[in-house]
Amino acid sequence: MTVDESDLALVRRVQRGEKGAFDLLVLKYQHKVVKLVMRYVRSTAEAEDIAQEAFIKAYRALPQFRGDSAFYTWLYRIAINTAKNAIASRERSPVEYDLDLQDNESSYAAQSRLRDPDTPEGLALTEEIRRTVNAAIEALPEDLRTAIVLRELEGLSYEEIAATMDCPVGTVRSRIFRAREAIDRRLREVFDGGLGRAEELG
Amino acid sequence: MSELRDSQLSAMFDDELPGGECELLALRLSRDEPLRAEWSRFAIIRAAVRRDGVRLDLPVAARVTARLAAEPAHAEPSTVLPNLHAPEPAASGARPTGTPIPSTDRWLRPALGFGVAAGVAAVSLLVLRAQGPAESVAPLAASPATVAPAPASPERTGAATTPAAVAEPTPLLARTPGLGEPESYTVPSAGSRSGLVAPAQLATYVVAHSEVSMPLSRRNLLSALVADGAAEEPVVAEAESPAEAVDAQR
Repeated sequence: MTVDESDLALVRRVQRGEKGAFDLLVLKYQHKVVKLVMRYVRSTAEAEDIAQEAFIKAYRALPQFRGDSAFYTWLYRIAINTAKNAIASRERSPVEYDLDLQDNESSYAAQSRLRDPDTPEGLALTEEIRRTVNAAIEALPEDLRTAIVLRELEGLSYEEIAATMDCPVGTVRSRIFRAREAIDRRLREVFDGGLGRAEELG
Repeated sequence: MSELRDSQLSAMFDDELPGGECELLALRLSRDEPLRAEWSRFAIIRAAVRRDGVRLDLPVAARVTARLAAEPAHAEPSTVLPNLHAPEPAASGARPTGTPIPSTDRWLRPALGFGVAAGVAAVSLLVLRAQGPAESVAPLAASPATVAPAPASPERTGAATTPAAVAEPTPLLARTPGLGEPESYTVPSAGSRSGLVAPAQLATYVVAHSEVSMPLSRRNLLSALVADGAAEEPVVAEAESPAEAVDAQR
């Protein structure tokens, strides 16, 4: 099968007027796009803003997307251009101070801090999710762990994993699904139980 | 059943699900909130394993969704991507719903139609010229706008030719075979519109032309043909002189 067909299926639904399908594409690629944008800007908050703008631009331009390239390739180009434009715009125009602060500290610094997503709670949640996922992977049977690591960490295709593990592609698909299912079960417990649940779960 | 669906979701997330199943699951995803949440967690798991260096509970998707609420939905069929997994249409000329018309098709088909129509018209004209006498061809081309009304003249002999009455610019000419110069200018007599071309010849032309003409214009032309056929006899009957009767019959 060709790569990117799942993205194309979702793109087609968006083009037919189903906005909800675009949410799925955003969910799938938001981490990658923010990571990409962070190569151009240092602030996490700014990177998230630019990523958000890139997704909005992508949505508006989606009727012109003809599937000549993979969706994420097209999306990444938009994200990079949006980041470059944001940098150029920031260099051209002075920072706007729209906060009515009583103290004497820099408004821009205050604004950035107010928008800073790396709050202690946010950092704690991120760390907890990461710990939970790693713990779940460590607890997996060997074949499931190898399959999910080759897929998620190394980015191999099912066919490449099948060749590596010397098993049919269908088996790879099943192993990756079962690995994800096990990790997801642990993750749901974290989300349902709130912060600190990962430590309880061990 | 749920396990199969979740297995498909996992494969779809990896771009490893066959296209047809992708379409069905995408449809399901649009309605199944728990499935969407699972999709979202798969993305978080991936980001956690890859250590992307960004926070895992990103708010980007929620913000984009909120902003898109104010955006119009896309529903332009001409821009929809072709469904690569849809069955081929039975009729060769049919096009799958939502498939954009290729840019070459947009201008090629009308151009081809025009070309065929022009070809049929040219062949018809040549056939008519080769078959009939000069006077049966000439009126076809004579333009009433460029030809002055012919005064009734007892000197007229045979065909209704009035060279002196022809106005500039020069209308199309009736030519004598073998000669380069026009033999005469022809003015259609009043009420002889049906005599321009023999109905049988015109019918042949219409049938040939109907393959490339629009249905509406085809109907109009056929109606005109029938009406002309019906009006032909009264023209002969109403002719005032034997010479005019002969003209009308021609």
